[in-house]
Amino acid sequence: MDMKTQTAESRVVLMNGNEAAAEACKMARVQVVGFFPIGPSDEVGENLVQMMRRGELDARVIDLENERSVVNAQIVAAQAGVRTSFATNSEGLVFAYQPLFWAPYGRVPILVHVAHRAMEPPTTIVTDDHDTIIFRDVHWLQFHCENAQDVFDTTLQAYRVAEDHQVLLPAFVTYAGWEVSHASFPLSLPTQAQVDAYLPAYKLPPGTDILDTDLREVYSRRRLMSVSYGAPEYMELRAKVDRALNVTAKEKIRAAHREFIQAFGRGYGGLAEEYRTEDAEVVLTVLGSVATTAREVVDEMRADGRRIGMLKLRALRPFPLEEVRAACAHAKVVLALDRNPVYTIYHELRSALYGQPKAPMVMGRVIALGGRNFTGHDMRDLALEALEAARTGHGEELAWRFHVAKSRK
Amino acid sequence: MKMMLETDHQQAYRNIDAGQCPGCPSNLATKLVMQLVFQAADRQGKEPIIFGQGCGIGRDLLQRSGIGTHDSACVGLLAAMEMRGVDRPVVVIDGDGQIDMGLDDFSAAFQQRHPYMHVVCDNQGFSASGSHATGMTDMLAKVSTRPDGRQGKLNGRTLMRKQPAMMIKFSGARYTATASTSHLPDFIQKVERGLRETPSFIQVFTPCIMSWGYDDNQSANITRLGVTSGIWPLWEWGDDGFRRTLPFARNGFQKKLHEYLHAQRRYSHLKDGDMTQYEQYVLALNDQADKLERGFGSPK
Repeated sequence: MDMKTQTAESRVVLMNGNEAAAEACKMARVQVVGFFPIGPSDEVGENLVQMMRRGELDARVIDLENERSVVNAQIVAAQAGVRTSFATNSEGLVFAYQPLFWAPYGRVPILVHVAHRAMEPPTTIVTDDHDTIIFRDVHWLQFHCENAQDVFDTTLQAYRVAEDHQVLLPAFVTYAGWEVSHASFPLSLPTQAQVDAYLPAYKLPPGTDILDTDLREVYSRRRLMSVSYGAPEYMELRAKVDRALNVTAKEKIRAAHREFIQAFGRGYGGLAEEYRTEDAEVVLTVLGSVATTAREVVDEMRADGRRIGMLKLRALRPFPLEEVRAACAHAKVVLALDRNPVYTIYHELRSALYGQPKAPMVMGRVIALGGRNFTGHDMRDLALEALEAARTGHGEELAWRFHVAKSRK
Repeated sequence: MKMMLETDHQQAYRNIDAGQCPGCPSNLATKLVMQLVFQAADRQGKEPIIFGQGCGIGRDLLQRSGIGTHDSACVGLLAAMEMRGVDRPVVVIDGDGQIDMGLDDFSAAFQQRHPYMHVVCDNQGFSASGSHATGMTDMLAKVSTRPDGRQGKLNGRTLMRKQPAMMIKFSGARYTATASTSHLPDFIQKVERGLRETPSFIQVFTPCIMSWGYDDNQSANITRLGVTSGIWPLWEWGDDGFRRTLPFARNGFQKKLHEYLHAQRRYSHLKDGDMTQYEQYVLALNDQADKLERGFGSPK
């Protein structure tokens, strides 16, 4: 993270990822807090409830029987004009599969925090990205955060972009379970006035407020529940959603990030963060907290004279196509480090770079599933492999990296 | 009494039957509920918000959430209304399949005593989806997907229908009732009371022309027979206790029951032994209601 300056009014506190998510929701003045327990995410809701009890937040709690119910209630609350929050992961997210489609295609800008947890079976509570990765195909904004500060800042930016009337899409703000959700980080906390100035109150688009509608007139147009014949505009609606995500939201995210830097004095890259990629032969491409290790390894290897850089995809959706192409323009090898078992970053990079002039070789490595350790040594080994492939022009395209314990000596 | 559907409020619901089967009982029930809701709204000066969808019920531009989620939708809506300082009646109208699919939402919303009225038009099946069974499908009724559906059984077992109006009374409903459009004053009284005493749940008996298999000019007749044969006991259960709102005539109910069953293709497979079983079933349903009235009845 590039913590450039601190504004005079802000203060530095110690917070874990879940506390940062809750604090950001509070300062965003959420009015409805969805809650359903699942570790390691549930601390977000717990913190918000404590804030309400202390009188720091005026909101109502939605506490129903499962995540499907909570997300559904969250969607309708947002349609009725209030800002909402919810935090869940893994089994909880897939429980909510049905409303997770309703949100984007109903153009409802809800926000869901995900402290990643690996999918079962076997039973586990530790982390990898698989739980959220699978929702890249339902037109949600999807942000992956590195640490508590990133969670806090990205939450504010995500609300701002999601609620923009030209976007109106839901957003995931995700981070590693335990490693970020329960690890303490220094966090520069802005004042409420700063946040209010950056993030305006949530407003429904004109003419869509259910509480300000001539309902008798609407009811008079009730019709047969015949969806297959009743929605001739279906394809056009999907096209609008796709454009909102993959064209409009990209610009809005970049702009929200620029304005965030102006307001708070720090930034991370809009859709993606490039780190020492200018002349890199090898670009390590990562999501979330893996970036911290990658940055360290890049520095160490740069000190050894290796031309290596790192690209953190801050947003997986919309996919930062232009940023990826620019960052990898001079690379010979791009190494995708996927913390999921379906090679998502690998496939995204292959797709983004295919057909580019002098397209680099894309190598994929599955790492750190189910909370498996993945140290700087592991990453360095993989980076050396990629450098060798850059030299020879040959390398194993896809492989799984199981952690190899090594002393740092 | 002024004829229903001929009031000044007609325009609010006149187009609801755009495409439904002519004579659809769910459609009629929905129109009546909406009319009563609007009339109450006029008296109170508070515009209602009505959620829900279903085959006979129709759908509108306020369809805000997915299938089987209307109760959690109300929870979200009411939370938002509270935060915005809005106080208006909220009503759900949907079908019995929605109750099954959203039983979690349904039970939680009532347990948490959210102030809304839920009316279910119960046609005892997923009638718009190939006449499949719901939990409310009645005993021995043929449905399309049960392996031994021709006998109206599931894996050889005879099932009784689920009774959500009973269930929800023990999960926080302040007022719960069964109703039928065939008994209009009773129906009106219950909807009006349900609007006042929330959270409330009203389970309306609404035969389905297509999945029950009867002539479309017989809806009113079958709706009435369902009640008078004892298949659909009419009762209400509020703060003042349980009350049967229509007495059950134990003498001679069999004739009406046979008439009710014979009129429907879904019961065309029943034999004499099944008829006897059905008579016992109706007696058991009514014994249950009688016992509840004795145990939880309101003081006369």
